[in-house]
Amino acid sequence: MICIDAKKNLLKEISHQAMFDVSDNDLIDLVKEYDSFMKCVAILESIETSDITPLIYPYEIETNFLREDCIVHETHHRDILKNAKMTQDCYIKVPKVVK
Amino acid sequence: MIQYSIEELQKLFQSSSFDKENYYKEVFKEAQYQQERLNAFVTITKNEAYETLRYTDFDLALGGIPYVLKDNYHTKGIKTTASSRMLEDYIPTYNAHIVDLLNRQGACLIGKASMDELAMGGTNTTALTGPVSNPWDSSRIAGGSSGGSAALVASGVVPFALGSDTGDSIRKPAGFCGVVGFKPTWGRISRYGLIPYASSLDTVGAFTRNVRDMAIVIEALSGRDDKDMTSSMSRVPHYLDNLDKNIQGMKIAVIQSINDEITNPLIKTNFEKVIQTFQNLGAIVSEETIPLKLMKALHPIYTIIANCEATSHLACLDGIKFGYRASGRTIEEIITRSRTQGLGTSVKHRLILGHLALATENQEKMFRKAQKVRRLIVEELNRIYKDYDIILMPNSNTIAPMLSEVTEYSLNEEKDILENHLCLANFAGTPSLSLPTGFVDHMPIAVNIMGRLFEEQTVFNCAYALEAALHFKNQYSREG
Amino acid sequence: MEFEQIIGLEVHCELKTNSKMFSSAPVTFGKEPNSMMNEIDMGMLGTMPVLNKRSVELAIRVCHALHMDIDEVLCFDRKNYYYADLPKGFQITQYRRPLGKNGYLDIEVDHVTTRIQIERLHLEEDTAKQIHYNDYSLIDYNRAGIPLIEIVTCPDIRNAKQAAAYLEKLRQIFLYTDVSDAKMEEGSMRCDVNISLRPFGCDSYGTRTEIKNVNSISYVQKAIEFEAKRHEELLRCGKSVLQETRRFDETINETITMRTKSDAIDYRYYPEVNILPIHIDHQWVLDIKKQLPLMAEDREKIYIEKHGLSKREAHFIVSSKEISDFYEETIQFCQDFQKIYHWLSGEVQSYLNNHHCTIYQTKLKPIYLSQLIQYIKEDVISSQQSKQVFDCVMKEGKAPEVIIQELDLRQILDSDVIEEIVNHVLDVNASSIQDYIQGKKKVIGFLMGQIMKESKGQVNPKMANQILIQSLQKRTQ
Repeated sequence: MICIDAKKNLLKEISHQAMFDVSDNDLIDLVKEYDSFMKCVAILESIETSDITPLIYPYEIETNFLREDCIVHETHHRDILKNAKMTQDCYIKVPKVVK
Repeated sequence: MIQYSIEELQKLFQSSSFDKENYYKEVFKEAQYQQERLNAFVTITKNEAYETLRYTDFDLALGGIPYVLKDNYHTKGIKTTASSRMLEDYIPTYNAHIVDLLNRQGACLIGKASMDELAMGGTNTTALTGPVSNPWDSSRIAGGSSGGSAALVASGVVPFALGSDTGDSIRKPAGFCGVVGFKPTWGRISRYGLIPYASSLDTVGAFTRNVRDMAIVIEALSGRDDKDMTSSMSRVPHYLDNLDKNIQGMKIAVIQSINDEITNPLIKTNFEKVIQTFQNLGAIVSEETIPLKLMKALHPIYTIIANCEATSHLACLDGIKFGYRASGRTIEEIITRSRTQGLGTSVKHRLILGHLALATENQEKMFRKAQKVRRLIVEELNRIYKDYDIILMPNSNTIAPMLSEVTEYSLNEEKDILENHLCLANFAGTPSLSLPTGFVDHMPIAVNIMGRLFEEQTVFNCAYALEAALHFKNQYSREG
Repeated sequence: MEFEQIIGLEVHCELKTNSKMFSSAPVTFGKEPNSMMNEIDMGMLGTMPVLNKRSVELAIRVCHALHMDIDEVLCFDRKNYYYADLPKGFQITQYRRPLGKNGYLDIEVDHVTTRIQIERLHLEEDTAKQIHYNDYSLIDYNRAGIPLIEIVTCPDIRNAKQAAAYLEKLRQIFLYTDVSDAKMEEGSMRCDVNISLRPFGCDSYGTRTEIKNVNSISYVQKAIEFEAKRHEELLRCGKSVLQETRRFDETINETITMRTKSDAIDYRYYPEVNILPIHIDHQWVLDIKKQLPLMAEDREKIYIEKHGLSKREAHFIVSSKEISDFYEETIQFCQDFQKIYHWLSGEVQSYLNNHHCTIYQTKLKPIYLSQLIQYIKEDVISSQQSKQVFDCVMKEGKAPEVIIQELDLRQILDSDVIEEIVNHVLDVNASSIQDYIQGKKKVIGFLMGQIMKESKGQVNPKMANQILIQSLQKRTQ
């Protein structure tokens, strides 16, 4: 059993990776949810699945459909950009990206 | 009076004595009235609707039929919020495929319905616009995540509404609100333009007040869409024309490990009565089992798969191209702050834990493990479907809870099997319909009818027969 | 202790399709920013990918050219990370099952042929383009969703020269299979380098570093040389190489740390549910193979063995697919391989150099070139005249036959007519006959010049020369 601080650190790190800031208050609830989440994991662990392949789609299905390489010229790209909060000369603007 | 079914409206619109203008006036008056009582709309699209009606061909299949969309369907030029602050002012530039289909068939959108934020929840209490009330008792929840859609059909405002179903998000609120709720086979209806929660589970579906209307709506929405590679090429039957009450010899399985979990005696009695009714109708009902261990895994599988997939689907919510954008000095700061401020606590927690379970070092133990156990369960269902046409289950162990009883939805509270069993149909991708079967404490209760892949017709026929025998059809509640 | 370099290359190449990999938005360069995209490329919620058939076809072509095993099912995965240029927050790629596996490419360095094993070829989508300014960046999504193939070698490359040869050869394959314009400087072909060092004779690998996105073949060479030296210096003084991602700075010709292993991103790959597994029709794969043009090395072999060209000559022709295609078209009309080579490497090449264009952009047609060669061979025109005809063909795009007629260039082959001209020239230049008698042989050249001038270059030089000498001998007897 990992101690509460270790859990908090782990969850802080995961939150950071998932692009979230978590407040200390939030972290208390998150730890509780983590605990029950790990119980979910434990329930699954107790089930034997050694020869089983993961089910990715609800049922086994294949297609042979591919799209023909045809262009559809859209004319509303300026409308699409309207949803961006910051633009400049038809570009979307962001703070300098450090490579 | 406006609370007509689709079929009734189709007849009325053909009669010259029916005042369509007045009907729509009443519809919007009622929409306003129910909005104050239930808070089920995010947006009422009155102006757009009147604009549409000017050109509507009432001879079309759904000509002039008013409907409501869950606010996670993209509507061009009409804001689509998914009840999230993140998308509070998001105005799509395209229509979901099903919106185009409904437009083409003349249906008239009158509003966008409230939902749990980004469809993550089962109570409809996490919406940005606040909780949605149950039409039968406004101190109770409508259920979620498609609560707004359920409430607007159950209060009689519209004859049908669309919802989306990832775990039970249509069928649970349908049961709580006393209306018909249906999710078809995964791949039957195009998902293009539906804001995803978890693609391997997400299904487009609907609410109506009777089975015939459901057959009409699902027939209108079904079919191949080349924009959704997962949509099926298989032919769409004429569900309405083929509706058949005769279910003589239909083989129905009930799952012992689920029935054993019913603790509410009134619900138990009701369920037994449903079984008896089916037997009286000539169906063969027998008991089957699914190992309890697997039934207990339903919630863990759902939690892990849905939230893992969601972390990826919702990664595009970064404040850059659309949606809420917080200020920041670096791009990382903008993304982090936009997501932190734009998304609700419950959504955030789900995404964080989903991220954890999808991490490469955990994936085998968590995400892929859940997918493996999902296969075991689907194999169990397929085994049963070898011998049965239908699996019959109670819809829920409870009536709709009081709003005051529901604290902020918690992802991981340990749950009863009977709170999660409807996700079986999402795991297997099978069609599943919830049908009202009575009342307990003046609140509606329901059963769930689940069929084989692409056998929507069998599910409809089974439900049609039961509906005719029980008479809980076309019910709605304007007050309470 | 001597060290051995262990190098593997990852090459990305943009495919020449009309529309994007997963959307119908056009693939066009140099257009107004954010005008060549739609909701799918922008990663708008609810949109779904639909795979472009052409992108698969082009990828299969390259698989064939690299002798790869081609999977019968196409599967896609999501590579998840947050970055400004990644609109969906994930990139659709093939992680579990690449389209192509187990290929190879033979390269030649200093007359030694080495086989480079190729581990995998997979399809994926390109990201948006960022333009960086001092205090902000701009994003253009026109590039987002353009189909890419990524080709990963086994760690079989041993030095910078081999790496360069591999890239040259691979680029040639992209051009010969006509899947891409493969311009490294414009980013339609990009290269990541993985390099580690180990003592000769050692079986295990040393710690490797990755150099991202090097954008020319010579920079790849320089980056490898620098990095190998850096590793060696570290190892020689007993230090260890850090596993990290670096980039090549072309202004200082050095590699620089981008991120270390501890900052490595976990891409959390998992299957893309919105794309069903796609069964690839076996017959289609075979048809693509059948329609594939011959690759450079196969053509080179034919030119040497069947056309009798030297290795150098054959190599010149295949070094450009367009020249080689032009050559192949020309030999349909004329089997004078050597002459065709001379024209292509001489006049044609200098025209292309001067005009900065490719052969198919000029007015020259294979049949014109064959006619030109034929007319010289048949003495219809002199080789001197042929240059004039060539210039006209390039300028006006008319058939040589037409030009010869218009300019009245047909050679004079009638000996009576030639004799008349020769006599006229000798009459006018009587003093030259004296010079001839005195043995000044140079005078022949002068007189030939006069004859050419008089006939406007139209007399057949060989005949004129013969007749001139006969006439001189007659007059001096």
